[in-house]
Amino acid sequence: MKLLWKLRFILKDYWQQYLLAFICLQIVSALNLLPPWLIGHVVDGIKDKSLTNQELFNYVAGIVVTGVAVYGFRYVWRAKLYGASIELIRKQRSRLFAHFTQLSPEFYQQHTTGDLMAHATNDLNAVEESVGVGIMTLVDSLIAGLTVLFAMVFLVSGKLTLLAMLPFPLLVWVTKRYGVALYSRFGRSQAAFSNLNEETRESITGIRAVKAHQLTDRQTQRFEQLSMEAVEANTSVARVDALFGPSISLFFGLSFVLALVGGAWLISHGQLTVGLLTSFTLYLSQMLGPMLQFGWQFNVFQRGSASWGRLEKLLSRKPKVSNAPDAQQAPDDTSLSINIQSFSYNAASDEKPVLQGISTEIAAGAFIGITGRTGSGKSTLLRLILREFDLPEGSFIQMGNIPLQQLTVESLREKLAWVPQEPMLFSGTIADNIRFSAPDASLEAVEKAAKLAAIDEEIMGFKDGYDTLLGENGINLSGGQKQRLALARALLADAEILLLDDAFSALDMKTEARILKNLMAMKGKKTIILVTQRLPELITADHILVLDRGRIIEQGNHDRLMASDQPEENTTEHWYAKIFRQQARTLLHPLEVKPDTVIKRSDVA
Amino acid sequence: MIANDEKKTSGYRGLARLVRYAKPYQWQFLGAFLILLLATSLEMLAPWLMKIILDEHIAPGVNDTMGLAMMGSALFGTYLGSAILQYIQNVKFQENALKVVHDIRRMLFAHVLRLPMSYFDSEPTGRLVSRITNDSEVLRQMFVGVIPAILQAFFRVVGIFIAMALLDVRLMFMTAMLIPVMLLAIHLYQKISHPVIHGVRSQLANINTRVNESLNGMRIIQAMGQEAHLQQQFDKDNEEWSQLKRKNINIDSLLLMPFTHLLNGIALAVVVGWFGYQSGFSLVEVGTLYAFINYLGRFFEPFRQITMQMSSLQQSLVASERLFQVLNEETEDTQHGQSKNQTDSPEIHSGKLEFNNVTLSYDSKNMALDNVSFTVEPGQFVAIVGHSGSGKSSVINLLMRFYQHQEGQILIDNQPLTSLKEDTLRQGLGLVFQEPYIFSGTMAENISLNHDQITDEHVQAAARKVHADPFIQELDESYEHKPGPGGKALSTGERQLLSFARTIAQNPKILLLDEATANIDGETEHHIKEALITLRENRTTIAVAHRLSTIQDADQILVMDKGRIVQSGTHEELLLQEGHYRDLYLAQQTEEQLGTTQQPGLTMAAANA
Repeated sequence: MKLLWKLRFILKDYWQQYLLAFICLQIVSALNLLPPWLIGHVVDGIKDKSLTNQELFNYVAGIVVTGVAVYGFRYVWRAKLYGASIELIRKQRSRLFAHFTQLSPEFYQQHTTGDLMAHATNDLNAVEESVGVGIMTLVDSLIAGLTVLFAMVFLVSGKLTLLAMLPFPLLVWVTKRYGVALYSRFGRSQAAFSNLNEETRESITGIRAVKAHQLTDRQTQRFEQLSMEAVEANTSVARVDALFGPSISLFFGLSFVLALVGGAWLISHGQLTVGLLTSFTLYLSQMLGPMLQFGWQFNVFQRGSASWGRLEKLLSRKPKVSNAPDAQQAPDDTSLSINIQSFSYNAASDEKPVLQGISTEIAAGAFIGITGRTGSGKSTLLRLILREFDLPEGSFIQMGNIPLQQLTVESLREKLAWVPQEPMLFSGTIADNIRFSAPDASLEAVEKAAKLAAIDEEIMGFKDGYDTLLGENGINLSGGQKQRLALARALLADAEILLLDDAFSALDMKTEARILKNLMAMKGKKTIILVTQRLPELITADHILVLDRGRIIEQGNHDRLMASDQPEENTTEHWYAKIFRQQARTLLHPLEVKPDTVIKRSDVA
Repeated sequence: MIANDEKKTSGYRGLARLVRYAKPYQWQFLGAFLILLLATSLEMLAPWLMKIILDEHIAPGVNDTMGLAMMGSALFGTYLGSAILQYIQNVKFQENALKVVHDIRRMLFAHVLRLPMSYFDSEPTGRLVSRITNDSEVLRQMFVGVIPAILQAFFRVVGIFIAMALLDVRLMFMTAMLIPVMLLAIHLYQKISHPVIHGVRSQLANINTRVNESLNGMRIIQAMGQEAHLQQQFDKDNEEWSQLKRKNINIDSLLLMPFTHLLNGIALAVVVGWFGYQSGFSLVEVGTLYAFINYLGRFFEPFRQITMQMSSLQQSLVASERLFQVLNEETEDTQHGQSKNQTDSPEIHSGKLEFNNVTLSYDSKNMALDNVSFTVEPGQFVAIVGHSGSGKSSVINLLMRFYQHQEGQILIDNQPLTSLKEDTLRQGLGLVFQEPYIFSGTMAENISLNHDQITDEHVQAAARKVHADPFIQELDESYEHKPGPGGKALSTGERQLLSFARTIAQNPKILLLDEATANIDGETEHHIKEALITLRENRTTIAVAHRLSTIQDADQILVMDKGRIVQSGTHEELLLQEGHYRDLYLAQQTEEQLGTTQQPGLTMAAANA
């Protein structure tokens, strides 16, 4: 009930449909009173031998017409009521999805996809059930129940109704008791089932250990025991669950017997006719449905209410990053100026900042390298340029001298093309994935981007070429293919600034060199910011930042960083030169490239 | 069409096989059926008693109060009896169905554990778990829902017709004409609604896939400014769903409940008309009319029940088909061609190992091991190193007989591996994993693994030997402590020490370390290194290692690349040579500098970044 109040804002859009459905429900209930009443008349007519053929024809026709009319009205109310609930849920689902697309990455760090999916499926289903079947049973049991009761009292006999209704409070009380007992038993059975699930999962994920340690028998025994427990818990549920049906029919039976006996007494006192008694028993059986439903809908509303509460909480989340009221379009000047005093993901806690004291200028069209150990804050820097997070007071990133916070998010991101560390692809064709950022791009543009990303030959090698369907997150592609598709996708966006976050880690040297060569051709036209741990990629960079624990420890171009003295062991000083030498030796070895030829390779690039 | 039919017959064959599992409980089920029959008969008696009451006690006027009271009590008696019998019947069905499900589950679980390792490579864990627990749960519905509902429906319809025939044969035949109409309606409903229901489901699945995918890729969607575009696609799917769903509702409204009510109404009109017409020239008792109307009302119930159970039946068929697919998989024993009562199985005494020209391919395309030969003398410590995918773990896979090699020979103590019994082999070889697997149960159980010959003293002695005793003593209930699922409350090092104790207690002749020191953090590293030395005492040891620092004292190091052994020798010898080993060694040093090898403290930051 509370749920309906909470839902009033979204329900009110459909009030006409609901009202029409309720009116039809009322008409159906009223029409349903007719056949028993007519039958009662026929019975009396037969008994008194006063039934004329004309009367009989009228009664029979009345029953048929009522049946047809009820059929029609039933159809209308179902279509209206369920139609409204479908429409309502469609809208809410769309609203939820829209909300998801608005929330910032900060939100997605706190919630797993699984949890969010549960909201989008289970919670919406529970609400749908409440506003559809739930409202239907509530209103139907009220309308139909009251209408039938009205008929019993006013068309037949108030005394008889009172007598026949005697067992009903008892029935309500008994089923309530069952419900309570069932609830706790049901909890136990669910726990037993989840134990069983957990045990099974454990044995299967640990199958190597199970086999290696000869645990097949042990695990089977444990499984058997848990399965037996589940059987017992389910049996105890069944013992209560099976009480409902028989109890209801028993109490109804009692009500019938009371009606018959009481009716007989009334008839013998001339207060009732046999026909009316017949009508009465027929009405009594019409009470069964509403009585059953009335108890049932409480559960539905309870679940729906809890679900709606969760959804509301979710929908009330405000995105952390949004357009300022006076936000302007991103400027044509795409030079970046970065000045970060300190940044951490969770400002409230006193954990160490992820970035501090970062200050640098990135001219439009420059090639910037960012490197450093894992966890040194490289990706975070890219995320800040993308404005996935806002910087605290005192720190800023400016594009063409305007702080990012003063730009609209859309116009900023139009200037940026980002290739993430983990390539994320979508189900659909390869072409769709490449033209993701520009859905209307021509096939030529798609092919051109693929060529630049050195993936076109492999795509043409697939049976369906660019129309090859990808599974979820490109499951049918290798890691290297995914990375290059993600690159092609970013290149097609034709943005001014290219952000590459360790985007070539799964590629072999040769392919990497081809791509780098293609990227270098754009130098001067596009800003390229490349995060990598493969230092040879950075030989031609205009400027290289070396990060360690959120700080810049070295910067300059390749030659300057290499020109330092022989590095000492086990310090972070001259990190770049030390790692470069090691990598020149080991990373390039498979190609049989000696350190002195490295320079040549990069010259080509 | 033909394919469809075949699928159907195989589904029903699965059903027949399913019913066979109920055989041990056939008498129980038969008893439940009889009670069901009795309950239904009593139910059918009630309208008849009402007819008698109406015709003999009420219509002529009440003069026999005693008789009326008797008849009233009798009527209540039928309700009471029927209710009690219904309850017993229902509980009986449930109990036995649960037993059948338990049997199927147990058999399925034992079967799955005996399947060869390669099966688990291709089958996702979630799916297998779902086969064992969820699918078998669906089958329960078959025994408690579908079968009783069909039988009860049948009993009821028969009972109703008998009663109707006794009341008025001609009207009974008229009512019988409703059956083809009902069946036609059910058939029509199935035919029309099936594609729509299917469409609703698949459209919903589409929507959910899309949401899931979008949630995973939200950062890229936002970075590329594609929110609106995706919303558009989503709304299109969503709209299609709502249209299909509405169609579904309309079909339901036209052909289900409202339709049976319509038929009921028409039939009612016919019955009333008939009795009214008869009354014009013969004696008609109102009780008969009343009873007939009552039976007619009950006539539609069974059809509604059957329609409701149809989807349960479909689901059960699908579930049983999936179950039998798993049950039809060949188990390891049959694959290795071993008979269980093999008597002359050799034992493992000294722990000598030999690989002779062994070739293995997991997928019969790519070679995992290519003509590999080496010998390990009893008591020797041999390390295998190489890049991931070089085949080093395959050596262990073959030794544990997780997989079957295609060519060559593997000898343990000069006996072919295949001649060893499963028990002998897995008792003689002690495998320590990179991620030690902690089973639910107590700490002691995790060491003894419930093998009878390992007593509590053995457990504690083993724990002391590998320095696991101190930390176990500190836990609540020490050895009786339950570490919970996956042992997540224990640190990686503690888990590893526990698995060492497990291996010591098992006392194998041959020790296999599968990257056992890859994930060790600083705090326990010292203990682990010492424990490893204890572990290796008096045993042949094969260590597959990623971190070269842990294997520098090996008697022999085998360097693998693309399934072949490319170098071998001691650490010092190999370092002096140009080649793979030295490259690996240098690369590892770089990796340590780059922080890509796991280091405590940094992993947190990396997870955030």
